[in-house]
Amino acid sequence: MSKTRRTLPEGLLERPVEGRRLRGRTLGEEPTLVVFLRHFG
Amino acid sequence: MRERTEHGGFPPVLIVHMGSPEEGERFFAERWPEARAVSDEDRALYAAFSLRRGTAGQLLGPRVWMAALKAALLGHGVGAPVGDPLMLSGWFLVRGAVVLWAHPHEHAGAERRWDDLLQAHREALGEGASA
Repeated sequence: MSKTRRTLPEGLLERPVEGRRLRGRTLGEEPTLVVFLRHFG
Repeated sequence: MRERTEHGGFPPVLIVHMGSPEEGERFFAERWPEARAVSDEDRALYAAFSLRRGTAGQLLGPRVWMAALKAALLGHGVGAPVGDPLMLSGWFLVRGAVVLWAHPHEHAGAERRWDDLLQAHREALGEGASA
């Protein structure tokens, strides 16, 4: 765990993505938990 | 996690997976219809968040077996791998382009740090209110 803040690479958030139930900018000003999966289930 | 998100005080969730958009849709339509999810088949997002492939110890070591046993006792199975089965998972609290809190999983059976996450979320909301 780390509380060291870092900034994501420039342009990452503008990169088009595919998925489901996405609307507008995927990551906005509201704190969002981004969960990276290893597998489904 | 789905149950946790239904309680107040939990941040909105965005799931990133290595499957195709169609695989993601099939899985989440059945298991978590409300989930927002991004397909990252080329693992560019995983790389941007500095997630890496695990070592043999991180993927198959005793901590992983203990976690799997604990999950099995609770009635949880291990899902089928999608994408690169060697990649490690992780959780990140993000606002815009800023990573407020990071929990890259140190091994494949890493415990979920709910309390740390909720504390970081409360702090983030406090910052937003005072800005």
